Amino acid sequence: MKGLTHFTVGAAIATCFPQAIGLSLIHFSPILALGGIFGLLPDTLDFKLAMFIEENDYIIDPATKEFLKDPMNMNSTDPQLVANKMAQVIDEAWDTGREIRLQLHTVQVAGDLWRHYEVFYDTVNNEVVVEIGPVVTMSQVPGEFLGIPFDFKESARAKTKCNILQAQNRPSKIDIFNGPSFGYERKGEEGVEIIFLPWHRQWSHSPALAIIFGALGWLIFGRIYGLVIGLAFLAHILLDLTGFMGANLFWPIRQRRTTGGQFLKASNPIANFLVVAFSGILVLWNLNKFSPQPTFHLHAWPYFGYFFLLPAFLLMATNRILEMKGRVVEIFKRERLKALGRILLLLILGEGWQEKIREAKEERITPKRTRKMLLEILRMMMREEKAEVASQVRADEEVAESEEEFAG
Amino acid sequence: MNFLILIPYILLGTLMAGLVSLIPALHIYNLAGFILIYFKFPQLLPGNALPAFMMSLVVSWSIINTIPALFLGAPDESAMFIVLPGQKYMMLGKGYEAAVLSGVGALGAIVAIGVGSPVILRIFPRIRWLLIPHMGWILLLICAYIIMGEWPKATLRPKTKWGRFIDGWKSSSAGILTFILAGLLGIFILNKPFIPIERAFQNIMPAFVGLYAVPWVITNIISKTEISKQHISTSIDLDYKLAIRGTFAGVLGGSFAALLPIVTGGIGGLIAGHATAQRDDRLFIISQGASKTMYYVGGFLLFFVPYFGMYHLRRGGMAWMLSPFYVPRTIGDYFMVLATLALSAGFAFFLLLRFSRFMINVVTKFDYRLISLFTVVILFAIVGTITGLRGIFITIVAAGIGLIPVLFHSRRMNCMAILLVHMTLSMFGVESTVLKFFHLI
Repeated sequence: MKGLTHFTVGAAIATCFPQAIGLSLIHFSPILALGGIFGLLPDTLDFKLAMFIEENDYIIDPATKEFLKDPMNMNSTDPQLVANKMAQVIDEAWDTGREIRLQLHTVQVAGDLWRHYEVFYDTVNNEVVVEIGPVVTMSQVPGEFLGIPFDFKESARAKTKCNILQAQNRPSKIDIFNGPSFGYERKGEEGVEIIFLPWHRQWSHSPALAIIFGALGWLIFGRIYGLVIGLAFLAHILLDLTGFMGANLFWPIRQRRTTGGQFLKASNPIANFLVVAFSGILVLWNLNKFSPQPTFHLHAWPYFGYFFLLPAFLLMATNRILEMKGRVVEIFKRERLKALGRILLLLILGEGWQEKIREAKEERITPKRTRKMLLEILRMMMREEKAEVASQVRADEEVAESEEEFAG
Repeated sequence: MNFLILIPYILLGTLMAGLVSLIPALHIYNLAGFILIYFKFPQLLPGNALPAFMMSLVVSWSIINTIPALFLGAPDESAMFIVLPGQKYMMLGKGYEAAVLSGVGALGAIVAIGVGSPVILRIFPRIRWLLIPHMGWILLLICAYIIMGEWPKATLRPKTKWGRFIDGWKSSSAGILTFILAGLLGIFILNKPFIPIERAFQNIMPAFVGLYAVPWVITNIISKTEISKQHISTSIDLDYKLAIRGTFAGVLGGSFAALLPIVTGGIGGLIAGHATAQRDDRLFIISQGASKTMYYVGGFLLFFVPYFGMYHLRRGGMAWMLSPFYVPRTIGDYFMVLATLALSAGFAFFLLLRFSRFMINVVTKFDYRLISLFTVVILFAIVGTITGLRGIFITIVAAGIGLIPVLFHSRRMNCMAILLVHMTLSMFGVESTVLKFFHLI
């Protein structure tokens, strides 16, 4: 999830404690703000600390002599040399059986100008692909600089000895400020697994640290502060577990991340918006409920129903309709009044729903059995869809998730 | 009153604000104050023409004011986030497209205001009423987010951990330094009358010009920025999904800013930006256009919401200026203003297109450095005219602070500390201690 989402969730958790609201109103305590601050803290620790203390075994700096075609021209980076080196590091991880870490550097060619390049792991052919691109500005816009055309591309491939275990179908784009790091770890006889940003979501995203911060807050400021701090921190970890990269649940016992539940993409705008919206609505509910003079008098169900559940349902339904706009319009034009039910079926069951129902009907006789069968089909489809999506985008999402967080 | 009578005033207000929007540093509140005080305007206008005229000024300014930010790099506080993607579009020869995208966002916000008018009518005043006692910790949260949310821009090249840490923290430290200095400047100028007393209501204006407008223009002069050949496209690369998403995010951020006192359009833009962190500049520009319009227009619209009897919410300078001359009495006034903003927004969007073409002609015909130099002269001339030599001094000091994020690639939103720190300290009841420390009281 995005920083703003973690931040608002932390603040919302703080407002769940009437004592905290009381402290804030009467004693001008910053306790409610602490919820937001500790909600964001795990990422702050990563991007402001852990990133710098990581030790790498190898560094690839494409603008140094080792990777240049012409030693006198720092703009002559040879993608083949870079790809060879990366493949060599992966081979070393395979041969030695230990985890090896590699840092890729950016290429700054002038004050505000950077050379763009991309690395990609081809898991089908077990090759490392490196593509050197044009010069870009600080805004990552390619341009005609230093005699290099704006559409410049030169790529190279290098084969590894072993299988590359990462279904990544999106390249890592490297241009301004800093490049990514990769961990390479042998997985038995299967091959070498690629770990994107191995320093991210490790100790900083562990329940143990939430307990430590909570305990410190309790000891220094009091019980309620400790609860707010610890729970806001923990909420960040739990939210990250809904994504693909996960968090390190068992630090300091275990040093590896636990894969997330893969329910949501961290960058999913609707999911982020809904979490932020729910947090905001919860904050208002709590502030009103625990206020000496409430501004509105509503029960929980109508309040959350009207202000969150109904708009959330409408938002998700609208999004689904927009995704399937073509089919929806086609059905509506063809069948007019009957269309509503059919559109609902399309939205629920997806493409090919007629066949699915027909097949079910052919085998079934009673309405009761038909209903049962339809439910079974629904469950099956949800399982299949989830598994398919997970296998296709898991690694890709790990990369995207970190890149987006990385970009702030 | 027949709405038709109001139409000339609405069109006049839209046109006047459109022209003022082209002049960097000049805020629409300057024009409104000038008109109300010096021209005895209220007495000349029939019935509801005054609020309709004022609303059209705000609507038009909120839509067209992106032009100086996009084409001259001289934004006001609420448009600061649009400068970077705007310059990117300019470099690609698509400055006109950027202006259209921001206009699309603004129109989206107007539609959202229309659709959401029952919500604004019934719910916004209650939320605002509920949040007022909690402004202290909300402002502290915003300060914390601005500081914590800036990730270091490290190269990771130094060989030692400490080396990498120091290298990485250069930009973050510059951001924190900007926050502290802008916060101190805010404490000083908001508590010490540097500006002559008769112009004291403009005390923050020279600082805003220095923090937001001057640094970019100076950078354009130093970096010898050259503008690519601009293409006036007849269509834009945009689908309705992007337009809806951008508008949605902008309306969200703008509503937050419109609802809460002290929270400014820049913070609305920040929220809108983070809500659309999808690496799509089109989405970002639309959201900024929507946020700015939502902030100015939505905030002013609250003034017309009939709530606790005769008590009306005043949000923003325009509501405060208008309140001595006009009191909305019925729900009819609210709907009259809604109709006004719809008409004004349509006309303002048309003006945005025309003025953008005009500005493109100007920036491509003349040397951009010369234009930037001319812009600096205008900025200082306006500050000098309105606030005198002391105002110019504040602008120079603020520009020094505003240059830090530009030079160190830290976030410009740290400049928002100019208002945030002062108000947060005040809300937590520790302002007097700080003022005593600086011998300001």
